[in-house]
Order: sequence, then C-alpha cells, then structure tokens
Amino acid sequence: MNKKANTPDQANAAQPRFVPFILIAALGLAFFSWQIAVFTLVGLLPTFVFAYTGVGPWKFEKAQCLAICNIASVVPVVLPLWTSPDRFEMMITDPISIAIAFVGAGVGYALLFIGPIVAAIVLQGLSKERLSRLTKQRKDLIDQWGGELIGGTATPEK
Amino acid sequence: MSADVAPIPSSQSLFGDRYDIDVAARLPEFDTPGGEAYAVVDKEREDGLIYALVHYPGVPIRNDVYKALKSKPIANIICPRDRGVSNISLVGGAVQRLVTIFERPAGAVLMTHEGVKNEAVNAIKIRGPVTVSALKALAALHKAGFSHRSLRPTAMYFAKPGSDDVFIGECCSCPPSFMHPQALEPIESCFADDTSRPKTNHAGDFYQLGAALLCLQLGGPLWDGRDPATFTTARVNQGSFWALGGGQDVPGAMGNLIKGMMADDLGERWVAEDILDWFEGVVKTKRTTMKAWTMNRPTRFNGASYIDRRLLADAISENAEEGAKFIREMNFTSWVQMSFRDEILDDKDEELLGVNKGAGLSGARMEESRLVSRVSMFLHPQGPVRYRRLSLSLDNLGGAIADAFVYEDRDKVAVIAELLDPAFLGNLAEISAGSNPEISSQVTAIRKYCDLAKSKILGRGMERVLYEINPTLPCLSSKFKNGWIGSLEQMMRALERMASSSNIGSVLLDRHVAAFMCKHNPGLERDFQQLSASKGDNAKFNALVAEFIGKQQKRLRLGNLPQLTSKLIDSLKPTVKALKNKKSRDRVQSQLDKLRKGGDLSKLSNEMNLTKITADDAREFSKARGLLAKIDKERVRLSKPILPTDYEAIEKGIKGARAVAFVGVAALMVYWFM
Repeated sequence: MNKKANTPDQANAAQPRFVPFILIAALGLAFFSWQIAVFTLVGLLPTFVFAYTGVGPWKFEKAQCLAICNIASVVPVVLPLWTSPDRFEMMITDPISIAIAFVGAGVGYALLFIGPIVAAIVLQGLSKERLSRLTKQRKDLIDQWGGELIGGTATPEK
Repeated sequence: MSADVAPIPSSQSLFGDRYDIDVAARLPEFDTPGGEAYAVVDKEREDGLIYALVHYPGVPIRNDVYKALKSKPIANIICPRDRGVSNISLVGGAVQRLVTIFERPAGAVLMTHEGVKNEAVNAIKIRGPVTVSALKALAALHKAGFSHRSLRPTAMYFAKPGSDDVFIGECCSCPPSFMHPQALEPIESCFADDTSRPKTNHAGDFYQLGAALLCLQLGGPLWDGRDPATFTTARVNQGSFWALGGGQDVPGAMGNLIKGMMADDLGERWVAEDILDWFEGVVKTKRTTMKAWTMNRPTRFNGASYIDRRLLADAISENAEEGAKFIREMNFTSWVQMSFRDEILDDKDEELLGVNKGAGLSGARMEESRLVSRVSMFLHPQGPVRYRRLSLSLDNLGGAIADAFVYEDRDKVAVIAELLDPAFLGNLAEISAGSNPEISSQVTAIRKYCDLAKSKILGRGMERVLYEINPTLPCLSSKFKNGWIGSLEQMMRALERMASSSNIGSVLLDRHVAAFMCKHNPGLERDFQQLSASKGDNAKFNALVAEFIGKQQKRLRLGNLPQLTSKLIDSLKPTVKALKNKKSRDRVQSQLDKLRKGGDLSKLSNEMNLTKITADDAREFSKARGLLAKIDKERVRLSKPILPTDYEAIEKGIKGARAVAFVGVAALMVYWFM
C-alpha cells in the first residue's frame, strides 16, 4: 500500500476550503438571527476542532463526514430559536442542548472508526472472488500455451 | 552416388526415346569445345546420316545460331536438326545431358585432330571445291547475320565418300572462338584468353578459313605445339601467314588467296568479294605489315625490348607488379611523346590513366593492377581488357565466367568480379573510346551486372552474373552434376527426385541454385533473402522452404510432388512442435496431414501461411506471458489479508462513512421537514 501517505496538498486542503465556508455562512445567518448564528458556531465546535487539529490522510473526507453529522445534530436544536430568540440564553447555558448538538459529531467519529473496518471486510470478500477468477484464467492460459508459459514444463496450478 | 546429388529421371524423355544414342560409337571428328559426338539413330526418321553432340554443362551455347540454322539450314555447313535433354550412360555412370542432333556429312574429315591430312585432299581440291564450299557456307551464314568463328581444318568434312563437296563444322555448340587454337585465331583476337575471345566481325571467319587452308595446303597441324607468347611475337614480327607457315611459302594463286585471307590488318584482309575476284583471276596482292602498332623506338621492360605496343601491353600485364613499377618510375608523358608518333597525351588523358597517382597503402595491389590495365588499354585500345593475368573481351565474358566456375577457379571468379566495377570499366572505355568506339556499348551492356557481381546476397553475386550473361546455361551446382537443369520446372522435378535422400533446405541455400532460380524468376530474390536470413532458426527456415516450394509448384503448375511434399511436411515437424498454442498446433498438424496425403504443397501457401502462423503464435505467446505475469502479480496482491489499516480499506471506509453520513442526514432532514 504505497499510497498510504497523503500528499501535503490533500492534508491542508480541508482547512481553507471548509472552515471559511462555515464562518461566512454563520455571518450571513447573523443578519437574520445572531442567536442562531452563535449557537450554530458553538454547536459546530467539534468540527472546527477537527479541522484545525486533525492529521493524517483523507482529512478532508473525514471532516466532511464529521461536519455533515454535526450539522444534522445542530439543526434540530437551533430551529426553535428562529421562532423564540429569547430562549437563546437558556439554551446556550443548557448542557443538554449543547450535548445534543455535539451528539452528531460523536456519530460522525463513530462512522469514521467503523468505516475502514467494514471496508476491509467487504474488500476481503471481493478479493477472494477475484482471486478465484484469476486462478481460473491462469489455468486456462497454461492449458492453452503449455508449461513453457511459466518458464518450463510445470503442470498448471490447480 | 552421393546423397546430395540429384538422381537423373528414371524414365527417358520423348527426345531420348526418339534418338537412340550409341555411346560406344564415338565420333571424335565431330567433337567441339562444347561437347562430344556420338553415333545416333533417329527411330522416327531414318533418312540421312546424323550424329549426336552431347553438350558439356559448363559451356554456353549459341542459341540464336542454333535456332536460325535449325529453321533455315545452310548448305555446306553442318546444321542442327533437333535438340533435347536425354539420359545417357557414359563412362562413370548415367547422366542427363543436353543433346543436339546434327546432320552428318558422310565423307571423312579433311584433317584429323592429330594433324593427319585426308589423302583425298590435294592442292586442286583445296583451291577448288574446299574453298568454294567453305566460302558458300560462310557467305550464307554471314547473310543470316552470324559469324562462324570455329572454323578449323579438323572440322571440315567431305559431303560424301568420293565427293569433292565440303562441309564446315557446326558453330552453335560453344561461344565464338571458344577454346579455338590461338595460332588459328586472327591477330586482333589472339591476345584474349581462349574462353573470352572478341565476337569481332565476319573478317575473323575469313582469317580462320585462310589458316585452315594453309594447314591443309602444308599438310600438318600448324597450330600444334606453339607457345602462345613466342608465336604471338612471331606473328607480330613476321605476319601471321609466315609465322603459322613457319616460313614456308605457298606459291601461286593459292598463296595469294591464303595470304589475303590471313592479312593481319583488317583493312587489307580479304573478304567474300575479294575471294570472288580471285576466282575470276583478278590478283589482289596485299601487304601484311602493321606499322600502326609499331613504336618509334624500342622500350625495354623486364629485360626484353619491345617495339610493338600490343606486345608491350601483354608483357606489362603479365607481370603487373613490375609493370606498375615500370610505369611509375618513368616519365610517362615524355615516353609517350618519344615513342608514339601520332599520340598526344594531354592532361585529361594523364588523369584518365592515373599514372601520376601515388600507390597508396590500402588496396595498393588492386590499384597497381588497375594502373597496368589502364596503360595496357592505352597501348592496345582494340585489344582485350588485361587485368591480373586475365585477358578478357568485354563482349564475350560468358565463356570465361562459365569456365572459371566449371573448374572452381575461385581466384579467377574473384578477379572477374573485381573487374566488374563500373567506374573502372568506364575509365577503360574512355581511354580506348577514340580507337575502339564499340567498347562504350560493351561497357554499358555489362554495367548492369556490376551490382550483382559485388553482392554477397544469396541469389546474387558472381553466380547470378554467370546465369544472367549465359541465359541458356544449365544450373552448375554440384548437386545437379548428373542432371541437366535448364529451367525452373526441371529444377523442381530434380528437387522432387532428390527429396527422399537430401536436405532440400540446404540445396536451396546453394549459391548456384539460388542464382539460377533468381535469373529465371527475379521475383524470387526476396524469398531467397528470407531463407538466408532464417538459416539460424530451423523452425522458421523449414516453414519458409515449404512455402517456397509450394509457391513454385503452384506457379509452374507442376501437379503433385509427393516426395517433396512428404519430405517437407516431415521437416515441418519441429516447426509445428514449436507452436506454443495447443489449438493452433493441432489445427496445423491436421492440415499438414491432409496435405501430405494430397501431395500438393502449393496448398500450404494457399490455405495456411505457416510463417504468419508462427509469427502470430510467437507474438500471442509473448502477450500471454505478459498477461500471466500481471495475473500472478494480482494474485499475490489479492492473497494477502486486507486490514482496516490498509490504504484501500481506509480510503473506501472513509468515503463510505461520508456517504452513509450524507444519506443518513438527508433522510433525517426529509423526515423532519415532512
């Protein structure tokens, strides 16, 4: 697996493309409701933390996964603020509301942890199938061209 | 019989069936340098006497003369009646030879080869019927556009016993003056080797007739025991008549006739009109001196003094090394001015002769020989090309080349090949163009052979020049020494006969065989080059040989060739075995088995191109090897367990997780907003 190391471009690409976009979106939202904008920024803190501290390959994809899950858990919490902005103080100080907003990020982290495991299991299965196909193809080739194909008079591998 | 020599056909040809040659009854008086004569019986036509001339394979024949005399016989000359290939049992075994059937005069020969004169020959007969008959024959032959050039007293015959009418011998079994005694040759052509005398004009025939009459008149073999060099000097100094007669004069009118015909100066030599005048009693005494060739003062070379340019040319060319030294050491221009009254040597001439060029280190021997050759040509412009002890006439090289090959004289072949250099020949032509205008056309005619001569490629080389210059010559390969291979069809039949005992591939690689076949079909050059190039690859070579034979079988419409087919299909076993693809191998083998039964190898090239199949097989095999390597590499990769920490698993896992997150969130959103 010689492609293990991500290139520097890929590693750094997440931060400039991802974080400013969320910040601009939050600023735009502040024109309509500063309370929603502030709570959203607070709720998305796990994503920001990952964006600034995350390392290793596939950082952008990981951040995307985390952000999607994080946003999914923030949206239901901030929606009531649209109709009742005065509840902002109560909600920003309520640990339950903050925890709910952070749950999505936790799910995102879990998906990122399980993903490679599941992928490894699936790929292993696919490899076995492809291996048996290749073995058959190899045997056909040797049958057709003789043992000389493998550098001698060896019998074809079963 | 050696396994590598093609056996002769088991059955006699139609020609052989018709003419029953009695090999026990030799007729040496009808022998020529081109063949041996035997008694023969024509089973279909018993009128008139005939004899069979069994041709030597290495002597070119004069086909145009044969055809002309066969279709329109000439009186007083032995004319051919028929020609064909026949099986003959000679001493040493049965052979197949070209045989020409000639009308045979019933009378005796005028002089035997030993020089014994027929008792019936006397001065009156020589002066009368002998001269008249020979003159009639020559006049008719000249009128037909040919010269005889083989006229000698040992080849003149009485028409019938007791008859005075005389026949002269045939002239179509060998090139002009081929192996003719030098003493009986006119002086203008006696400087050339006896295998390459110039064709000259009809005047040469009158000289030969004069010399023959002199022999008959003096009653002995005047040509016998003459040292060529000494005799040529004597001819130059005394004139040919006096030299050949050994100082004996022939008095009276007969003497005038013979002297006239033996005049060394072509302008003074008697021709048909002069002889007719002589018959009518008009005496035309002519001088036989040749002042044109005499130098102003003698030149000393190699201890001898020379006054005649032709003799000096001969002397320096006989010893090229000394000759070159002699030319370089003297002041050539001054020597020319002092020695030749009418000769002016300008800068261009000097440049052409190259007498002032340095000897150089590389190719010094060749340059010396060429220098001597150029100067010899300058001294004797109407003479032969003298090069490295050879004296060759450019208009009649065929006999010399054939002779060199027959006697396997590789040195002579190499010298002729060296001579066939267009630049050098052009040089010689320019040197002698002023005095010998014909040389330019002769050089042009042989220039086309120069490229062939230099080539080492199979199907070209001097062997090809041999067959190009002698189109009627049979294949001189030692593999066909018992047979007479005059055409591609005969060649293929001979290959069929020798297939069971010989390796056909090695026969095709014989330079004579290749050159002969290419001469008869120049399109085969490419095939022979392919055969030569694949010598090292047995499988490919055998396939090419089989395809080659198949193509010829089809092109020449030879019918079935069972021996060749069987042998060549056997030889293809390694080729078929070498096919890697099992299916191709089985398919080709079954097709070959079918062909073997049919005996038609031409289908090999029609229905299956074995060379292409072999090439395709090799290419496909190479591809299969590449594919197998890829498969093996992939199998190794796939055999390893895949862990969640593997790059691919991480990549697919993270992308999968992102997709799941996206789909999940989208579903949740839809759910909420509904």
